[in-house]
Formats: sequence, C-alpha cells, structure tokens
Amino acid sequence: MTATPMDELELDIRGQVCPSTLLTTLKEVNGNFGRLKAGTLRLVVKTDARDATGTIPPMVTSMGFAVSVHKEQGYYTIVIVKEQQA
Amino acid sequence: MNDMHATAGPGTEEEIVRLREENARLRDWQARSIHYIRDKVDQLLGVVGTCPLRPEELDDEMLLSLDPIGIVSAAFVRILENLRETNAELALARDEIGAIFQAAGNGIMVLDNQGRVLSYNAKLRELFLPEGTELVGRCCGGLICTPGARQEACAFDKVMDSGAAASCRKWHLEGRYFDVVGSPIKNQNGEIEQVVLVYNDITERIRSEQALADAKARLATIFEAVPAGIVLIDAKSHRIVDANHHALQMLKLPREKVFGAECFSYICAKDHVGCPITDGGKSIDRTECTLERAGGSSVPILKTVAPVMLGDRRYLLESFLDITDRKQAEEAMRQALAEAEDARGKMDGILQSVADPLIVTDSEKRIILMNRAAEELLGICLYDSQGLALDQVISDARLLEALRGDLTEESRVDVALPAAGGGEWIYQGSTSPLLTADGLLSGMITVLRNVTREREIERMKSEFVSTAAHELQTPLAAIIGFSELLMNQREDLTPELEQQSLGYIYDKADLLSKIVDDLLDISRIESGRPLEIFVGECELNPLIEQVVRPYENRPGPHLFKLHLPTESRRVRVDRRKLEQILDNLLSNAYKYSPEGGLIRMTVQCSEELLTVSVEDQGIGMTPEQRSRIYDKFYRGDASNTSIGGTGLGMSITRHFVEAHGGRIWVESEPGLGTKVSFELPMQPLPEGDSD
Repeated sequence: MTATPMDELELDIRGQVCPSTLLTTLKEVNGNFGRLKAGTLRLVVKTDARDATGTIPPMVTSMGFAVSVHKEQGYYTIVIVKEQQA
Repeated sequence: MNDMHATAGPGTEEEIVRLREENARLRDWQARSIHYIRDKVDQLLGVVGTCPLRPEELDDEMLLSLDPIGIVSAAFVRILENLRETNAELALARDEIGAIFQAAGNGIMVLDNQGRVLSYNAKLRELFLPEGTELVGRCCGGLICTPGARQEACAFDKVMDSGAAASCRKWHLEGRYFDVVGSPIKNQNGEIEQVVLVYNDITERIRSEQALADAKARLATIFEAVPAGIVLIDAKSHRIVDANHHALQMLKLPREKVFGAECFSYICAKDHVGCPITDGGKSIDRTECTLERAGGSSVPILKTVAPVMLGDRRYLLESFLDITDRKQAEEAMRQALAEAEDARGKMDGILQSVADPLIVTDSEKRIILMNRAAEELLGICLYDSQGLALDQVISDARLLEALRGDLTEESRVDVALPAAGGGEWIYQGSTSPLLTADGLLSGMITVLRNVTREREIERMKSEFVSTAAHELQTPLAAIIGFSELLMNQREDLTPELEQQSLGYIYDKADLLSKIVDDLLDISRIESGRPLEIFVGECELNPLIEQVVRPYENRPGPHLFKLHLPTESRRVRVDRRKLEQILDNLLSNAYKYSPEGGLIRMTVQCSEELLTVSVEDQGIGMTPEQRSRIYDKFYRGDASNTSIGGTGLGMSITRHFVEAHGGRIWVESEPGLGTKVSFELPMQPLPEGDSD
C-alpha cells in the first residue's frame, strides 16, 4: 500500500486564550476540511492554552478526525489528521 | 461635524438633535446586537464546553470579522455530517454483526446480568434446543445445562464472579464436548450489563485426540509385541535412540547400554563397511548378517533397514529376525537336497541301465522321468517333455490309450508300435503304482518291454501244437488202420497185401520216430545243452544215395536229379545227423514244390569242404520268410495245412550244420524256387583208417 503524500499546516496560536484558540482552530479545520478528510493534509496546532487541549479534541473528534495531543516545552501540540491516520 | 454645527440654522439644530437621537438609538441597537451576538456566541461556546468569549479578548469589530457563530455553525454541520456517516457505519456494522452472529459456526448466546437470555444464534439452537423451544427471556440453566451435564461452575457464573472473561473447558453434554467462553459487556460504570457465551464444539477434536492417543498406544504395543527386534537409529550419528523389548532380549543387554550406542557395535559389526542407506544410497536394505550379543556370542539375523522421517529429523528404522532355525533348516535342506541329488543320480543310473523303455508319470499323467530307451522308442527327449501331459508328447493313439488307462493298480497291456525298419513291434506295457511314504498314489512307472519275439514264439508254439498233433495223428491213423486190418482180416489178405500193410505201418512208425527225434533234438537245443556230435567215418556217395533213394522213387510230378562226385570219398561226419540234414532239405523241396518241377541235389567234396545244395522250382520265399527260415516252429505258410511239417526242420538242420562247424545259407525268390546250400569242413581222416 502506497502512503498518500501529505502536507502539513502548522497553526501557531500560542498567546491566544481558550475560546479564541478553539475558534481559530475550528476556522482552520473548516477551511481545510476537504484536504483533511481526504488525508492529504495534517494540521498541527501549537497552543499554550491548556484549556484548549480539553475543548479542541472533542470537537474535531466529533467532526470525524483523529486527534493527538503532545506536551511540548511550554506549549502543546495538537495534531489533527484523518481518522485512520492518527 | 463641528463645522456643520457652527453653520447650522435652527432647522439644522433640530436635525442635529434628531440625528443625535437616531445615533443614540442606533448605538443602542448596535450594542444590543453585539450583546446578542456575544450572548449567542457564549451560548454556542458553552455547548462545545469552553468558557465565554470575553470582550477584552475580542472586541466587537474583531468579533464580527471572526464570525464565531459561522465557525461553530460550520463545525456543527461537519459534526452532524460525521454523525450521519457514523450512524450509517454503525447500522452497517450492526447488520454485519447480526449476520456473523447468525452465521457463526459456534453457538452464541447473550444473557443479561440476571442470567436471562436476550438473544442466541441459529447454531446454538441447532446444538442445544429441541424443536419449538424458545429461550429468549428465560434462564438457560435448566434448558441447556442439564443437571448431569453441568460438571463445573458455569461460564456465566464465572464471568459474573470475576467480572472478566472466563471459560469452561471440555464441557460435556450427551456425548459431545464444548469449550464455553464467557465475555462480559459492561456499561460506562464498569458494571456488567450483559454476558456473551460462546459454545465451541470440540467433539471432533477430542475424538481425534483420543484416536491419536489410541493410535500411539497401539503403536507402542505393536512396537513392543512384534516378535522381531526393532531399533530406531539417528541417521546422522548412527546411534540407537530407541529399541523394543525383543531387540534388547536378542542383544542380552539393558536399555541404558543400548541407547546411545552406535548401531555398528551390535549389528553387522564384523563386516561393516559403511551404512547401506546413508553411505550406499540405498532406499531399503535387506541383508543377512550377524547380531553381536553381550558375552561375545552372535546370532544370524535377517535385517531390514529403511529411512524414516520423524518430524524434521531423519532416522533409520532397523528390524531384524533371528534366523538361526532357518539357517539350520537351510543346512538340513542343503544336505537333503544333496542326498536327493545323489539318490536321483543313482535312480537315473538305474533307469538308464534298464534296457527296456521306462516312463515315470505323476498322478496327473505328466511325464516325470524316462530313460534313453523310452526316448528312442517314443521319438521324444526327456528335456523337452518333462512335465508335459502324455497326450502332448505321444502321438501314437494306441500307446497313448494304453498309457492313459486305469493306472491305479498293476496292469499289463500289449501295444503294437511301428518298428524302425518297417513292420511293427509288440510291446508289453507293465505299469506299477508309485506310492508316497503315506501310501498315496503319486504316479506310475510304465515299462515297455519288446515282446515281439516272445509273442511270435508263443504263436508259433501254438501253431506247432496244432501242427504236431496233426503230424502225429496222420501216421498214427495209418498205423492203427493197417494194424486193425492185420489183426481182424489177416486171413483174408494176400501175402503181398499183408506185406504192403506191414510196410505202411513201418513207414509211418518211422515217420513218427523222426518227428519224435526232431522234438527231442529241438528240446535238447532249447535246453541249452551242447548238441552232441558222434563223428564217424563213412562213404559219402552211398550215404547220400541211401537218403535220396526214397525221393527218387517217390511217385509224382517231380523230376529229381542228383549230382554226386565222380569218386566217392570217405568223410568224417555224424552220419545220422548228415542223413537228417539231407532228408530235411529234400523233404522241404518236395513239400514246397506242389506243382512239380526239377529238384536238383548237387554234392561236391574236396579235402577241406563238403558242399551240398538242394534246389527246387517251387513256390519260393519272400525276404521276410527267408530271414525267418531258421526260427523254431516257423512255417512259411502256416495257413496251408496241406503242407505238413512241424516248423522245426530248418532250425534243427542249421544247428546240426553249425555243430559240425559248417554253415548254411538260402537263396530264394517267390514263385521261382529255393536253393538251400550247406558246407561242412572236412576233418582229416586217421591214417590207414577204413570203413
């Protein structure tokens, strides 16, 4: 099976607080929904808003994406991909 | 604006006031709109579980440009789409699970946490439920697990007690075996809501395992019970890895000594030059060799080696049998065969020494043996005819019929076979049964003896008796007749007739005397005693004239001529026998010349030899008659009773001639006549001797 070529879109929203972080992320997901759903794009969100790690994942999971959260040095990386590619 | 306020009139002031009021209303409406938007945004954010959007975090203008409602709404649309897709997938999955549930090869039953059946599949119904029984809503305990079948705590109980998956192995029900696996289905609180029980039918597996165990037990029993030594050898190291009880007994060694030892230590130790399988490349080896036993003794064995694969390892399976008894039997057989060969040789020698044809047949009348005489008689050879039925090798129907007769007892039968030189020989077939040691008939021995000569003599004797009786009867009748005449009518007879009657009586008595003499002579010859010759001197011509005179004076159609030497000689002979010789020859000449003709006697005599020939012009003889003229009792034409004679004359004549050291010969042609000649060596006369 050949791996699908995939782009990565990094969204660095460190400094924004929770609702804004969620809305910004959702806007980006909505704007790239087709590519994300097709599995040709991976969205990496960098945020230092801890609450966002509790709000973003349920929303994008409900939209049918796979989400993983990684704790980085002073911020979090939330990776959003097509469901089977998590 | 300030410029406008400065230059504006009263109307303008009003307009300004109105505009201010309108502006205030618009500001208020905007504020309330913004408030409404923020309130709805917060409400939406609350739905998605995040905190409200604070104004200092996002001013009104930013709020409108960000369009959070649009964002969240779009997200909700995506969520709804995802939910629809998920629901569709779940429905499909439910259908799939349902199909799998029903199609599963295992019986599956779902219970609630009270043990009541919620659902079950078709296989479970097939396995456990009688027709028409419904389980849903009922406890399975009494319906599936009968009291006798429930051998241990049921899987449901185990799952409920442990809170985890549990199983019951080899659950037994009515001759079938099951592995029962129970799995809990828990709610969000971790409480067991349902339990799934899966019944896996392992009956066939259990039976296969049992059959395998039985087969292993049987194999082990056979391995130990087979009356042959069996060892299993590692093909690489040639070390013994297993041996049965019989092998250990033959080796007279304990198991620990044998296991691990090289096979060559015990098997083929003396003549080992490599393994015939691993070194020689043979697929199987069957050899006679020796087995070295503890204590230095050895036994002859017949070993069979074959390669076998056990797992992924190659072994040699070697079996061997003690063939000591067979070897001894073979030796005994070899000796017996040698003795049999010796006996056969002797028997063959005896057979070949038998001059008469001899044939040995088995009970099926097939040829087993025959001697050279039989081969020559039948025109076959033993090599080609041995084992063949008589009718396959003997073409003569008469002989075949004789040989195929009832051979169960001794019997004799005559059979006429073509003679090599023409004519035929008469063979007497004598059969004797060939019996086994148990007295059973195993064949027949047939001896074919040439009895042609015997049969001919018997025939001639029979003819002789008849002829002799006739020959004796005829003169006796004359003697008796004339004697009666003289006794009863003598006074009536004239002296001449009386003298003539006495002469007849004398002649016939003399004839009888000659016949009796012939019989005595032939009896003497037959007895094997030497013929006595009483040699004396006599004058030849008077002797011959005396013999010839009765024939010269005999009335009849014959013309007689006698040629004597011009000068008579004195000779040394047995006078009486010479007279008898001459009388026999003359008598035959007259008898066999019934139509008359010249009868000539020629006598020649020298110092060394007396030669006499009697020649007639009678009926003559065939070559066959000529060849048999000296046979006793043989008469050329026995059927012609008008020609008298005993058939002994020529035989006696020949013996008399040969007794004198002479020889006799015959020249004859049928219808032309016969000439019989003889010659006698003349013995010197004693000097001064006279008659």
